[in-house]
Amino acid sequence: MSLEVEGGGATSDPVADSPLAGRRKLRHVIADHPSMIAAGLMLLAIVVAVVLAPLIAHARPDQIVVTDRLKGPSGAHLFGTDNLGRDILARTLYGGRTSLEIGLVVALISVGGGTLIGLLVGFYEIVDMIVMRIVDGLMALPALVLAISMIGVLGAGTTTVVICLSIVYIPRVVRVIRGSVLIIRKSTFVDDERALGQSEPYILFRHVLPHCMSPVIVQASFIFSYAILAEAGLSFLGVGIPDSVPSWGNILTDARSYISTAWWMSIFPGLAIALTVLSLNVFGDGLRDMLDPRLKER
Amino acid sequence: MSSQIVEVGPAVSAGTSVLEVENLSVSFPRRGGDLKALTQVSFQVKPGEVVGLVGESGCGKSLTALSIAGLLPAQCRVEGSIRLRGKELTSLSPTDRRALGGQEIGMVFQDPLSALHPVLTIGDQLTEGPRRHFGLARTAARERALDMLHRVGIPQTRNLLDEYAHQLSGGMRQRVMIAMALMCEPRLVIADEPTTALDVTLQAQILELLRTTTMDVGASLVLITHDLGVVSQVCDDMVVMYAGQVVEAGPTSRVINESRHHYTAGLLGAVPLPGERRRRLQTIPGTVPQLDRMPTGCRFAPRCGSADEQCRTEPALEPTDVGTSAKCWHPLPPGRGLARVLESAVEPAAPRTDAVPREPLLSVRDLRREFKSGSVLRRKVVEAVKGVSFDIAPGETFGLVGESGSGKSTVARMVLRLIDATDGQIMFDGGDLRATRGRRLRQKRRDIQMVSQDPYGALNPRMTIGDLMIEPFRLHQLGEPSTWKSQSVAMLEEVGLSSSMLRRYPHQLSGGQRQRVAIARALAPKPKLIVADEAVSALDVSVQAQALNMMKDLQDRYQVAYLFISHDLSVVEYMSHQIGVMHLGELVEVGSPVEIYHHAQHPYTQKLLSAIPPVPWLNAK
Amino acid sequence: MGHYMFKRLLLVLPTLVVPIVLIFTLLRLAPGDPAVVMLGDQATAEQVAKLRASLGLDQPIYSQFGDWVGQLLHLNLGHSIFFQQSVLSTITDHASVTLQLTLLSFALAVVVGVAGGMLAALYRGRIVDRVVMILAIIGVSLPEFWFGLNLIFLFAVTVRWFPVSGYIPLADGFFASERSLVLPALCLGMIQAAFIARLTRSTVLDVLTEPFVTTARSKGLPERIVVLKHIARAVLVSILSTIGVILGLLLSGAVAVEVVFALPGLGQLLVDSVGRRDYPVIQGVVLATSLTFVAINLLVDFLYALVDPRVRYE
Repeated sequence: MSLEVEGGGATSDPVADSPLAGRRKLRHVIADHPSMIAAGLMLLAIVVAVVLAPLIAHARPDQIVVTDRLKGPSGAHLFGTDNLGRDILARTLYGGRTSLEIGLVVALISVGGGTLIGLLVGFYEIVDMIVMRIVDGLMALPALVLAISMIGVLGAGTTTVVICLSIVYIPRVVRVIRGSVLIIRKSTFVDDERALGQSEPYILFRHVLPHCMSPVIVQASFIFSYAILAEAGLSFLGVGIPDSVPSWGNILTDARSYISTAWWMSIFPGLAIALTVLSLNVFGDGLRDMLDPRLKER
Repeated sequence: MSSQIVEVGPAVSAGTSVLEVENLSVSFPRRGGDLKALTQVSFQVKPGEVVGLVGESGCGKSLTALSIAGLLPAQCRVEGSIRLRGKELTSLSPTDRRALGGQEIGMVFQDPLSALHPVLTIGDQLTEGPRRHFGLARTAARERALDMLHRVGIPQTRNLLDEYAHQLSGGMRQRVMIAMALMCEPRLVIADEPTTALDVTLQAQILELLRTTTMDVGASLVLITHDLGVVSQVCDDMVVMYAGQVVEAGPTSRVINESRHHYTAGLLGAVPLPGERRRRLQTIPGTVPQLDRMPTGCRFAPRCGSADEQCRTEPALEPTDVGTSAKCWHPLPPGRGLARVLESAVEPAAPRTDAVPREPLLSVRDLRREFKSGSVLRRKVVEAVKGVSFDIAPGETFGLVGESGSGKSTVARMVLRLIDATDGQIMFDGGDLRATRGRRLRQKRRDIQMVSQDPYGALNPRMTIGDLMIEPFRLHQLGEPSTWKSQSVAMLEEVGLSSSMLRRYPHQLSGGQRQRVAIARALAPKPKLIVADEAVSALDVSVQAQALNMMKDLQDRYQVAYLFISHDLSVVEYMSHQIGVMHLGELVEVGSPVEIYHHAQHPYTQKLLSAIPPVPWLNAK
Repeated sequence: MGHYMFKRLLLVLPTLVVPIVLIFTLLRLAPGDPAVVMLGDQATAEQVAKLRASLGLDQPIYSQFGDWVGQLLHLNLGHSIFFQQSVLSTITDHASVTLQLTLLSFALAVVVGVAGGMLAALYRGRIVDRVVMILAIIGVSLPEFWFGLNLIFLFAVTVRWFPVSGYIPLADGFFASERSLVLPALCLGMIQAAFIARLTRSTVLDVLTEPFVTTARSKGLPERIVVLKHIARAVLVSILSTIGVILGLLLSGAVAVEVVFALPGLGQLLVDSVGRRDYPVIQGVVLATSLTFVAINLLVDFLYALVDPRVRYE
């Protein structure tokens, strides 16, 4: 049960709460959210590894060595080799570039677009009526089914994947942002600002938008992770990134036929996806707890 | 009234207490030291007695109730003793304690809608207690429930048992809550602000019902409230709490008329009394201290005018000359309680009789507002405001009083042009406000400002007080940009705040301070009218008095008119030159405070007046 | 109640229109002449013209749309180019597998997820909570298809408890059929259970702060009753409202799982049809899923009204 400690909750130590006490605050953040910090460091490590791929992997990802086919992990090939004798470590690292890039771009497009639409929708009722019906319609389709059918018609390719995934995720962001705008719009200070004589756009951008920033940031981290999963899924199914480009999903497609003979082909790239997505999710959870005081302690 | 199920329990011999709380302390474990929320609280409840626990929010009243009922979170540390009919509760196992509590203690909470389960039927919720504790069969329990509902004034013709909480009205829900508390015929009923969430006209009725039905089943009643009127109306004894301690206790009439503690006297002086319009409210400076920053020694000393060196050590709760007890080194001399407060009241000044009737600042004529709801097929049109007309003279206050849903806030929002009127006329300062739009309207807004109810929500929580204060100056280009900051500081000082506030965020301020900032912001553009919608309702009594006094002072200084809206007739009467009574969307009566108080014409106004405890507490039991 | 359902029904219509319009527009947006794309490079001009005429591509766009919608209303989804049979029967052939898989995983997900989430919330901060929440966040981070591959490796390749892949139809015996679905359902269900557990936990924590929980405790009811009756009721009502979302996630996941386990379901059909450029089937599958989805959501609304009196008496 919750029990407000009477008088204890309303105001707390003004020094600790002031944003000016920056350094002290940072220490608190680290102490209070150890898992989020760990996840952040893990993400950083993954990004560094992927960027420095040429320095870490000895081979090129598409270098075929027929004599080295289906070799298990060894000193020469840490993650083993695939059915064409390509180095799995190199493929995983270079594949990570593709997957992370697509995830990031999709996250930026859907969160940017979704936030803008969500703000307008939450503030102007007429726009709301029309846009929300479209959003409902788009959300009435399972995400992957929608993406596959769009790609099926438009043809596979990196750009198509990015566009399709953005179309899939924008409605989700719109919903979340609209939700918080509706709450903020009801709060008294928006009325107060209007009564003071502020113009609507000023209220929208100066007062409402900052309040939506926490959900925006949190959504960005989650959509990043969904997009990585979805891209991997699409590529695995053969309707995503073309085979010629290594991506985590593509590597796993190759691995599928060798599941009983060469476990390393699926384990390492799979772990890469899982670790990246896990770190993003833990990071996102931590961000949400930190930015949304209402959910704190939950 | 059927009485077959009233089996008055084993008679407690006279003199022994139903409940004895002794040196009760409660603390919450926290990083960096425990938070002590209650310190050495002691009081007793005798059979058939009504005891009031009084104090402002943050004083530990509700926590005391939860401790007695055994409903504290598990991590709380409880010390001291709680004896129910001689049985020590603190040493019982949690399971036994809860089972015993359910039978012997009935609880009534503040907001019946959230305290009743949303998807269980009323019958289910009423019967589960006796079925559990007495092993009653379903039908027997339902009969008992029906009987109990009848006793709390729900007609037998209406079977509520298969209905749900949201289908009932607010008063009905609280009756159900009371019936639920009495289902097991407890020895003790604890009611935590049982009428605060209800409409004014219902409050007195429900309170009386609570008292009589509780007595009827032979239980004692502990009533927790911030409302001194409520206490004087029904309580035999009262216990005044401040900052987690008992500061004064004793028979209600003596504590009220012969207060010995400065806090009790201060609280009494802070409440506006009917008919005492010209009296300046007494205030208690500052606010209730927070748990983690308790003053050492007497906890009230920092807010007390008579504090001296001795008050740095803690006084004991000691008997006074009038048979009460008070926790004070320098108890007030005799004759300094409510009696003194009333004597010191200045005689009402003669109503202003201006020779020339002045041109009204705001003139509202036949204002209407409809709300459409429902779907396209079943369109429902609700008339929230049905033709309201009134005038406000420059520099005067028009008080609008009414219950929730009476349409008073809708009128405010129409005057502020936050929503459009369906029909009618709003003339402001010689111009037609309803016809003003766009940029012209935004300029006009400078002259009509608002102070809203919720001091938490009214300020953007992400901006500093400094940024918030500069906004009106920048928006309306008041003076040179270089002077905005100093003007802000001047405005803050005007409402009794210092420039140290500038860098703080709203959540770092107390409720009273936030409301001051809201008032300073509204005053900054030097408006001609301020619409104050329940502006002081969320504040504690002593802080409310500070705000009311300040608003009056500012009116005198700046000649600003107020449209002052409240559900509290006494507050409206204290503030206003003219009062309008709203009921179901109509303005049923308009008049001067004297006219409203002494010659109320409309039955609804009379009903509102009768809901106020009969002229003050002098005749308290 | 009747009024409420009617209102829901009205609100659902636009939800159906969007996918229909989207599919139609997508086909027009498709690069190149659909007829050419469908027939391949070797087609003669006459063949293309004939297909164009039969597809109505020579008509103006609005009448094409009108015709198409008219066909839809007669449940005529066109002909599969690959299967040489009507799209409708192609879909019904594949639907039963997906239906079985989804229902099995759904049951598994709800039971495991709700129980786990409740436990975690009620023992918040304790070891149970930690373990459940760590498993749950790992669960939501795993790609279904990779989880499936690992399950195959563990249970079908290493210990050989279940078939590696493939589907045994219901006609060949109920248990044999269900056995072939155990691994896929486990794969899909456990990942959804992770979502549900996270959702349940936060819902329970919300409900725990509600005053009616204190009321129930104040009546002296044992904690067991407070949890199982008062808290669980309120939690289930609010979880029921998210079943639509959960089923959407399940259907998405089913596509990948069907491919991994080589189950001849709708997901497999969709992916294969993309490879075969069998546009009428793609259209049909998307329409069928969105229709099912909308129907499920209506059903959920209906159930919701049944269990939550606040909706019923609105």
